[in-house]
Amino acid sequence: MTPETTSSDWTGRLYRAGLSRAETVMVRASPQGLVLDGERTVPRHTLTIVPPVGGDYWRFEFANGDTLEVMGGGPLAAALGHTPGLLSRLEGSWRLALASVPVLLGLGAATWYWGVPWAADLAAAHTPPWVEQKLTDAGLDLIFRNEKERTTIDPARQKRLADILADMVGAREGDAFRLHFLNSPLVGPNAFALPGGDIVVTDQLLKILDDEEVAAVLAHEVGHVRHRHGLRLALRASGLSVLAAVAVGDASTAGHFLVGAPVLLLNLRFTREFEAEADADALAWLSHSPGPHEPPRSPCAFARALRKIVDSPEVKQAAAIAGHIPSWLATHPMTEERLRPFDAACPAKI
Amino acid sequence: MPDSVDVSNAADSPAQGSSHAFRFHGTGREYFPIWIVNLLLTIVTLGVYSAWAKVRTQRYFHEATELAGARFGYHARPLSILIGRIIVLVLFVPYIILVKMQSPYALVFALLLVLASPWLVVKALRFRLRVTSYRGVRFSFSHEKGVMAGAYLRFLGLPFLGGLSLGLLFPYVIHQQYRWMVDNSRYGATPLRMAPAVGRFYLLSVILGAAFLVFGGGIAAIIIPIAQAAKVDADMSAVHYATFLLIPFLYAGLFLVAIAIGLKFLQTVVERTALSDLSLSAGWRVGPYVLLQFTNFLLMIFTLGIAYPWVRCRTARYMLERVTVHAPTGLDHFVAGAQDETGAFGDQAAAFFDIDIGIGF
Repeated sequence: MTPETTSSDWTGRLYRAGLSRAETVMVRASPQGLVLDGERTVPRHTLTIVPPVGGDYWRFEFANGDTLEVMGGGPLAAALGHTPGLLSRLEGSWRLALASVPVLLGLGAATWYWGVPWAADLAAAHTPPWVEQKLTDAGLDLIFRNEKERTTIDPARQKRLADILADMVGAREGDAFRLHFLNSPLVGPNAFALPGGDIVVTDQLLKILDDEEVAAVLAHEVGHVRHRHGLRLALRASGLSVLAAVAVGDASTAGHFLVGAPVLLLNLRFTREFEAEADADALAWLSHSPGPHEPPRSPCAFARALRKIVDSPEVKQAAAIAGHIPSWLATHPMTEERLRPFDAACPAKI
Repeated sequence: MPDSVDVSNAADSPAQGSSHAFRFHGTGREYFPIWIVNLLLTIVTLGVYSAWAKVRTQRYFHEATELAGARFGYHARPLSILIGRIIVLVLFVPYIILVKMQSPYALVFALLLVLASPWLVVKALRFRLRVTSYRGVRFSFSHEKGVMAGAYLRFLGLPFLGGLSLGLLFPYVIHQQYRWMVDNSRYGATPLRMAPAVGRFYLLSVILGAAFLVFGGGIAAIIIPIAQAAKVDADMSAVHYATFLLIPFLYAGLFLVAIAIGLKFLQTVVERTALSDLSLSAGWRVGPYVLLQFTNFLLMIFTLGIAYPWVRCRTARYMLERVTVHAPTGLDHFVAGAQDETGAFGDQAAAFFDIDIGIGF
């Protein structure tokens, strides 16, 4: 179908108001308006020109409800005095489109790397403590639901460790921090902090560490709590998931499924950043000389504790499965790299 | 099953009875700058332009779709879409915040949303269809008296019964929902009709259910030995850890089955739908469709989303060009519905109160 038969005639399809029957008509522009088949004139002021969005499909809507479709009707519309709007000119410009690609990618990357973490930290700073506490309570419920996971640590040691923690955080903050003991072979030797100030240590950890080493680990976990790492991580992760879903989610069904992978990698980056921050707190506390009635402390204890954990059979086995984990994929910075400041601050390396 | 797409559009004489395949003329090359402008203006206006962007996008895809020589039209006003989006924001944001805070008020809110959902479904369908045209004639969704009651029965009453039946009635419920949506849709004054397909819905549901069972069983077979090994505090063997690596494959398998079943559901609905003497056939195949979705995903990941216009156009082309309309008496005999002539005020009111809440169609 050629749109033009003569220099000024176009073939169009006319639909009378409310009827689906197509009538092929010859269309011409005249100073008065559109001339159909050389006989019917539709005055210019009674017709609406609907220019295409992309493509070349032009529609002319008449006041009486008739619709005229003209493929390639641009010159016809131009002859009726229609000038393309700014929007259609922008939408037709490849130069603008190509120039926008790096801008959009840069904007996306900036949002990804700085925007979301910044917004999440801002949100975390404005989150009331009771919200955090609710999250923590739900987490504790989940962890301690299983009766078999009751601790086997003797109450005297539990009391001693709780006192160490209380001394560490001081009386002012003491209420917020609580120590929990978990017997879980599946978790292995580990300690973790929940958002509200509850710190969980496993029996498997206490089996291989002495009290001084546990104190060093607790100093690290207290750092997590003080910097609100739990809440900030949760908020940052949700922010990134939303952003990733917006970016690629709605294009392909598979996008919904696998969009998690890059989010996971970035999550690991945040985690390492937070670990380093908590390590700095631990180092500061361990380097500070203890009060007269307090047990001794030293940066060496943290280095000892970490090496013992890494050398424990459970952790070794997991590492053997995973093989060599590159550092950008590791939740904790590689142990030796991480222990360098502690070794440096340790007066006599043991 | 008729799936011969070998019909010629070249003979552009719709008065004769014949079959017509949809044709999609959009290309990624053409859509790319439109998409970029939409994106830029949406960012610059902090999201307000998104309603205008939606109209531009929908117009592009409708006007690039051809059936028997004529294009589809999309006539929504951006303001209606913007109002719809604001309403959705006002409805859902408090709910999401309440859920995150684990507040008991979230339950009250959820109940209100559930009660409102059939009403929203009707509103969205009315909007979606009313703004779509073909050959100068608009589609529409029923304004008859019983429609709201029908929506509450199918989207609230029946799902409740389905729950009571421990899910045994769910395929039937879904079937009734689809059938009701089709039966209340119109092209001009002519209603669409969906022939029942309860058996097919049950068959597809059973396959999907079986896939979920296999997936669940597979996960249990991996997790349980590990949990038991952990319980007796025995050292866990490398084999236990290695089986963890099978979980992503199980998950991917389940996902592929789910999208294939989704396609088959759509095919069932499309092929059972008729418009007076018109019928439809859809020649989609599971293999090419899964491959299409998979390559779409790769394209999106490796171009950081820049391939979006191409992904959308190739998907639209595949989905549309395999659907054929069989029109034994041609496409010329349809007339607009009576409710289109309710006058300017009626139309204005309808345009204002029918909101777009983005239920796809």
